[in-house]
Amino acid sequence: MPPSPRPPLLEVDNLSIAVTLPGARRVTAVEDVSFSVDAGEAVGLVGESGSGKSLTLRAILGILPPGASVSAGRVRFEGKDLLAGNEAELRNVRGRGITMIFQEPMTALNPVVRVGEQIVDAARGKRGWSRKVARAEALRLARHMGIPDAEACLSLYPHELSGGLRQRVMIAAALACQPRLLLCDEPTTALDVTIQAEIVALLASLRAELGMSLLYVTHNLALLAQLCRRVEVMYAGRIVERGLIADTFAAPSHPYTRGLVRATPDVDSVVDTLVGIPGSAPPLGARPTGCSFHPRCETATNACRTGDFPLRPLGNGRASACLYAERIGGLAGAGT
Amino acid sequence: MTAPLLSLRQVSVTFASRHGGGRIKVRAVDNVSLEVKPREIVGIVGESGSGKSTLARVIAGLVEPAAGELVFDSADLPFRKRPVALRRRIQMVFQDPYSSLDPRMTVRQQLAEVLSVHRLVAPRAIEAASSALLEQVHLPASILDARPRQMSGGQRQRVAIARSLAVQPDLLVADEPVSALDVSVQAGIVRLFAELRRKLGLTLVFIAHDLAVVRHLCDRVAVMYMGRIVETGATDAIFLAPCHPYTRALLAAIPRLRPAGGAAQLPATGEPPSLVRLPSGCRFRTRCPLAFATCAETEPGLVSVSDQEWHLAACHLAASAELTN
Repeated sequence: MPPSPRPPLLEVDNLSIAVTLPGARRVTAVEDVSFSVDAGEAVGLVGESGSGKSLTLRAILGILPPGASVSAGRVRFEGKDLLAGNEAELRNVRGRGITMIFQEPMTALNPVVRVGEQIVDAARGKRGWSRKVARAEALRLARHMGIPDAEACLSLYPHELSGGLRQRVMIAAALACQPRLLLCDEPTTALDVTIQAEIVALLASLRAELGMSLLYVTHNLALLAQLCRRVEVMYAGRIVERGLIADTFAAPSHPYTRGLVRATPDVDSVVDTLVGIPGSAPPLGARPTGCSFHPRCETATNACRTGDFPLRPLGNGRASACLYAERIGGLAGAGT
Repeated sequence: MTAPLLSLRQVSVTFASRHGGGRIKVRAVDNVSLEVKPREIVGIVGESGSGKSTLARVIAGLVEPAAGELVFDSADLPFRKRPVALRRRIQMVFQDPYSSLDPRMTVRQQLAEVLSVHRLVAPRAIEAASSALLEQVHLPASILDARPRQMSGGQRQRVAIARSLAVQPDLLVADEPVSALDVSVQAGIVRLFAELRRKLGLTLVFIAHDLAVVRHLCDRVAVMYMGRIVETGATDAIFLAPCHPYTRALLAAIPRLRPAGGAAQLPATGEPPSLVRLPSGCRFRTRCPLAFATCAETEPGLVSVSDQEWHLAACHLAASAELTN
């Protein structure tokens, strides 16, 4: 493989995150997670609740919730180590470098400031514009975002807007900084499907127009298939499979990914019956020994109950943490 | 033809809404008629504000309709003074079992409460009856001593379903019962509903915004928009030959794991208007790519759109070629 001309925009190396449970017990919630995002690339991070995907996203921006902290690893953005830097340096990266949008816009917007001002503030703070220029930019963004009657809408407060409009305002504020990387934490989960479709189309077009990279966290596989090229699948705090979305969802090489694909109902056919994954994900601090997924796995053997199961490369940019990855994925063998 | 178990006839629900200082009435459900046959699973789909949850609550007796009547098992189903025996026959399952179960009670206590309040079994038989209920929802008896926070989301929803089954209902009204669950767990609950219909002969009204789940579970579907049913028919008719532009927009908006065929894309634009300021004529026209002059003048009623029995749509173009390509 020829060396890539540029280093990745974002590199997460061996990241581990510890959280404090009630009773002051420290447990590892995210363990040894490594992945990268290239400039202009859209990468999906998929997993169920408690898989550690949102913590991973927050660690990148240095906004872990109280009680959680990075216990090992590095996060590099444009070659700069974000975890080693001080708060002032991090503040420079936030905004113009990396911005994040959240699931619930009501908590990300200031309830007592008109939404237009919030977009203007973001643009002024990060790009040093005059109020007048920033206002014009806010209006342009709002229109671009498909906000109807944008001028009137920007003079309202967050509670006066519908969920879909609030989400668009939050995205507009994020984009006012023109970030090179947009972190998305399930930004459409609370929205109706027609609004979700509009926002996904908008994000896709912004990536194409501005060359903005996306790191998109969700549990919705179908949504990722619309938006991203590559996927990282997380289970119980670790990445268990990665690859191009087209390959990975068509022929998963980890039983967990296979389970997620089978459990996703297909609106275009009812040929496949819906199959869930038996059991539920382990709670924090109660990860089984061996492969974390083995208690729920139909392929598991005795060999899966003990030992370590790191991500193994399978060729073609794919990797899986399953002992039987080649068999499950229908691949000839590793490295071929 | 079998008589319906439940009929809604021209049901409307109004809420008072504060608006610009005054109070005005908003119709959350507007003149809705629907029939549910015994052992049938009917899906009601729509986006937020469509009135689907309000309709569910009307059936369960939690919201009083402003107009219209409900008939259950060939007898009038009153809202006020609904006899206990009748209430028992219609049960509801909610979206979030975490808030519908008592956080301080064990599963044993929650099930025992229902069984003893309704005097369904002798006190000494409560333990056995509780275990049998859990078995029906595929939970081990060992979960009897767990409290809601000690269970996973899927287990909680199964307990909520077991509790509603305790009174041996004929009709279960499930309001978004799988929306809050992880996808791997969702499938199991959907299969459980299908199994309960098969084994117990339950009838189910299934409220959802996820059309893919509805396609897998329901026999018939009603699509609601801004308080009205805009299209209804057999599940296959709705998914293979959707007629109303709103149904087509909903289907077009669903992200696909395997991008492929389906009905021709007809996306909607913008957001639903406010119930406070409904557009004149057809309430979907402000977002409809096919709207024309007539749509602003008169509101279309539900008309038959195919030779398929009971496939109805409320659209001025329902019979025209533009919609049936």
